[in-house]
Amino acid sequence: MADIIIILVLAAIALLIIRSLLRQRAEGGCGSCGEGGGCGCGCSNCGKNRHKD
Amino acid sequence: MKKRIALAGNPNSGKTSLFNDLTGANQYVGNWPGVTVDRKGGELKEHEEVEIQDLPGTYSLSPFSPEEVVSRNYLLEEKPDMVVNVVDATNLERNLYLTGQIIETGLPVVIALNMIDLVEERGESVDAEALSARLGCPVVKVSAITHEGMSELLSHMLAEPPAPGKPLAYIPVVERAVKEIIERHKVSRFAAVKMLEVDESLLTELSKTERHAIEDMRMAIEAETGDDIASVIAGGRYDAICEFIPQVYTRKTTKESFTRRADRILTHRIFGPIIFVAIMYAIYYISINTVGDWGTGWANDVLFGPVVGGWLAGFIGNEVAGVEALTMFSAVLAMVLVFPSMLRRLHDIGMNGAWLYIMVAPFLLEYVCPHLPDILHTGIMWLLLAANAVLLILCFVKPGQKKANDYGSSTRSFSHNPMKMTGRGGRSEFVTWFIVMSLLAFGTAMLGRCTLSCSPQLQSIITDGIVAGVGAVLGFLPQMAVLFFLMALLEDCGYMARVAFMLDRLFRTIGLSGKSVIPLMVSMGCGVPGVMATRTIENEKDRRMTVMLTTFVPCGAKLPILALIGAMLGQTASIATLAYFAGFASVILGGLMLRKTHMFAGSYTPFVMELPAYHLPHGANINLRAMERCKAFVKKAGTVIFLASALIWTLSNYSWNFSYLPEQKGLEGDPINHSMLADTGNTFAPLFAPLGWGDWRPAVATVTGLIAKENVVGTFGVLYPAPEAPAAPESEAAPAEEDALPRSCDLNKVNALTALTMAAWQCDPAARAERPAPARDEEADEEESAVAEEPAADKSWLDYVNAVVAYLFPEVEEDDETTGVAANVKATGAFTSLSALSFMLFNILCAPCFAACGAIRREMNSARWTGFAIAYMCLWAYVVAFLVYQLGLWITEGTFASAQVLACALTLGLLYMAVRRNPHEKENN
Repeated sequence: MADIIIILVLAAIALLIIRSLLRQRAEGGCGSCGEGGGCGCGCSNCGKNRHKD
Repeated sequence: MKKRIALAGNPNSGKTSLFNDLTGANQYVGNWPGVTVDRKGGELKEHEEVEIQDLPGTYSLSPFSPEEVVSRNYLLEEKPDMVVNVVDATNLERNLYLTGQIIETGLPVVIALNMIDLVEERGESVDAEALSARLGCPVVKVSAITHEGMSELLSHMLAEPPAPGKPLAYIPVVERAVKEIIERHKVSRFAAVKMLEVDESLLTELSKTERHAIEDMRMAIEAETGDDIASVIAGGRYDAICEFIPQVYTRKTTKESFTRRADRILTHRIFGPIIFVAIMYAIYYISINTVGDWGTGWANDVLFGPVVGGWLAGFIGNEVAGVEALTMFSAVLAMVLVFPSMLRRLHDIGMNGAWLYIMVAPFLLEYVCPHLPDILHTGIMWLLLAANAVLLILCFVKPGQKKANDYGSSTRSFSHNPMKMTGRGGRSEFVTWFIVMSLLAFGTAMLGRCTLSCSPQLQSIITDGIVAGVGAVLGFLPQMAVLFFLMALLEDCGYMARVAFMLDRLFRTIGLSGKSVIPLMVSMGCGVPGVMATRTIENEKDRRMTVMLTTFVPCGAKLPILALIGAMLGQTASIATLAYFAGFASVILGGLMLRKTHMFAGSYTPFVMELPAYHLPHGANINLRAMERCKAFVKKAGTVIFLASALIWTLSNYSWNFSYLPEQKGLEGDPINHSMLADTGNTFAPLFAPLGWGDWRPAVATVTGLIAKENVVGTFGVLYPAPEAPAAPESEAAPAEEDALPRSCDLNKVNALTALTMAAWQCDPAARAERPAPARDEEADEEESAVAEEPAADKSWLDYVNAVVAYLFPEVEEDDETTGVAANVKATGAFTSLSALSFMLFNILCAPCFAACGAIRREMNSARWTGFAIAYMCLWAYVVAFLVYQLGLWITEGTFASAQVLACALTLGLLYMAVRRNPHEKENN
C-alpha cells in the first residue's frame, strides 16, 4: 500500500513537472532555461506577459 | 477591444521599470542602455482592458539596429491608441528629440518625465506645465523608483487619448517643403519629413515624377543651407528643443558632480581594472566564504541532513526519531510556505522591515549569541520569541490598508498566488494561506510515514536519488542568493555600466565589437538573454562572433560548480574569481583569434554608450532581481534537477537486465560500477582522461550538465553519496535505537520563528518524554542529561520552550571542514587539485545548457553556424582544460612526457594565433 502511494505521488510530481516544462517550451519563450523572468524574455514565467517574436 | 498603450523612449530612460510598476510584471531591468531587445506585452494592474507594450529603447525613429526597428515598426504600423513617451528628465534635450518625432506621427502622446527624483536631488527643476504647453500634450512628472506621480500617469492612461501634440518647427525652407508634401500626398508630417530624408520604404510607393519633385525640394534645401538634408532636419529639431529648454528647465551650476569624480578613479586606465578585480573578489568572498557559506553549511548540515534527510531516513531507520524529524520538517516547510504570505501581510500592516528581522535574526543569533554571556544569551532568546509571537499575532489581528491596486481603486482583491512576495496581503488572505500552507506542510510530512514501510528501492530513489540530487543543488542557494544580491547591487548603482565601458576599451584593441560588452554583462545572469542581447549588434559577423563567445562568461547556473570545486580545494573565493576571469580571458582570446579568420574579418562597429549617473541602489529593484534569480534557481532544482536526479539514480542502480544492483550478490567492487550509467559513461570517459578526470562519474556529470549546468552538482550528489561512517568501538557504541538517530537528532539550527511552532507542537509532555535524547556533542549531552532525567510529567510548558531554545541555539563550534557534496567528492579522492581545476574549467567553458543552445540556434538562424559555435566552445574548453592539467603536472610534479610536449606545442600555436599579424587587415580597415 505504502509503495503504491509513493509511486503514485512520484508519478504525479513527474507528470506535473513534464507538463510545466512542455508548456514553457510550447510558448517559445525562455521558460526552458528556468530563469523565470530573471532573463526577461517575456514568457509565462514572467507573470502576465507574453513572448512576442 | 483592448486599449493599447506603448511605452517608448530612449535607451535606459526607465521604460521597463515603469512597465513593471504598471503591470506588476518582473521584467529584467538593467542600469545600462540596451537591456530590452524585444517588445513585451502586459496588462495594466487591475485594468485588464488596457494592454501595455514595453518597446526597446531607441534614440530616434530612424532606426539603426534591429531592436530599434521593432520600436519604429510598432509605432508606425500597429498604431497604438496612445504612446507614453518615457523621457529621462536628467537628459531632456536628447530625449525630446524622439518626442518630437513621435508627435510628428500624429499619435496621441503622454509624456512621462521619469527620474524626476534625480533632477530634484540635484536642486534643479522642470516646469511640466510650460513643457506641456509647448509640446501640446500632457506631461507628468514621475519616478519609477519612488513611484512619484504614478497615479497621475495612470489617470491619463485610463482617460481618453489626448489630441495629437504640436510638432517641433523646422527652418522655413524645410517647413514649406514638408507642408507641400503633406498637401500633395496626404501623408502624416512624420512621413513627409522621412520622404525629404529619402526614406526608400516611403518613396517606393510614389511615381517617378513625384519622386523627382521631392528630390528637387531636397536639393533646394541642401543648396540653401549648405548642408545635407539629414543634418538640416536633425539640427532643426535640436534647435527647436534648445530654444525652449531654458524656459522649462532650471539648471543649477554646480561644481564637478560625484559621478564625474568617482568615474575618474573607477574608470581609470590602471586603477579601474584593479578595482574591478578587487570588487569581484570581495563579492565572491562575501557570498561564498562568509555569509553564503554559513547559509550553505546550514543547508547541508541541517536542512538536507537531519531535516529533509531525517524526515525520510529517520523514518526508515527508527519510527520515534522519524516522528521528531517529521515534526521539525513540517514546521520548517510550513514556515517556508507561509513566509511569502506573511511578507505581503507585513507590508499591508506597515511593517515592511520585519522581513529583514526574520531573515537576519536567526543567523545573527546563531553566530553572535553563543559568544555572549549566558544571561544575555537567554534574555535575547526570550526577547526574540516574544517578538515572533507579537509579529504573528499582529499578522492575524491588525487591520491593514490593502486596496485592489496601488493606485487608489476602492475594490479589494484576494491574491491567488500564495508564493507572491510583492504587494499587500489582506488579513483574510493571510489567514487562508496560513491554514492551507500549514495543512499542506502537515500532509507532506504525513507522506513521510509511507516511506516507513515502502520497499528499499523506493526509499533509495527518494533519499539517495531525489533528495541527494536536488539537495546538492539547493544547498548552494544561500551562496547564490548573496551573490545575486551583491551583483544586483552593482548593476543598480551604475557600476556595471562602467565595467562595460572599461571592457569596451579593451575589446576595441583586440578587434571585438564594443557592443559585445552588453551581452557579456547580461550573460553573467543567464546565457539565454545574453545571446538574445546580441541583437543590438548591427554587423552580422560581429554578432555571430559575440554569440559564440558570450556563454564563456560563467552564468548563475555555473556558480554551484565553482562553489563545489572551490570548496573541494578550500579556496572558494579565489577559485570563483579565477573562473570568472578565465571566462573573460576566453572571450578576449577567442576574439583575437577569430577576428583573424576569413569568417569574421571585417570592420569594427563603433560603440557609443551613455554612462548613467551613480545613484543609491533601490532596495525594491535589487530585491526583485535577486529574488527572481533565486526563484528560478529553486524552480530549476525542483523540476529539471528533480527529474534528472531520479533518472540518474535509476540508471546508476540498475544493470542492463534491470536487476537492482545493491541487492545483487557476488558483484566485484562497488555495485554502481556495474550499472547502465557506468557502462555508458565508460564509453566516453576515456575522452576526458587527458584532462585528468577519466572516471565515468565526472564524465557523466559533464554530459548531464548540458540539460542544466546545476545538474553537474546534482549528478555528483547522486553519484558520490556520503561515505559510510566508520564503525564506532564497541565500548562507545550507542544503543541500537539511537544508531539510527544521528541525522534526526541534530535538529538544532532552524529559523527562530520555527521555535514558536516547535514550542506549540511539542508541548505534549508524554510525547516529549518518549523521544530519545539528542545525540549532540558530549558536553551538551551531559548538560542536558540532568534535564532529560527529570520526570516528564513535572515539566511545565515553559520548560519545553526552554528546551526548544536550547535546541535551536546550541554552542557553535568552529568548523572549517568542507560539507555536503563537496566533502563527499573530496572523501573519494576522485580528484586531485589539478584535475578538479581542469574539470571546472571544462564545464564552465564548454557548450552551454540546452536552453542557451536553443537561443544560439534562434539567433544564428542556421544549423551550420549553431553546430560550429557549439563545436568551437567544446574544443576551446577541451584545449584549456588539457593545457591546465598537463602543464600543471609538469610544473607541480615535474612530469614531462608526450602529453606535455603536445601541451607546449598547443600553447605556442595559440600564442601564434593570438599575436600573428591579421591577414585580413585591409578588409578590417
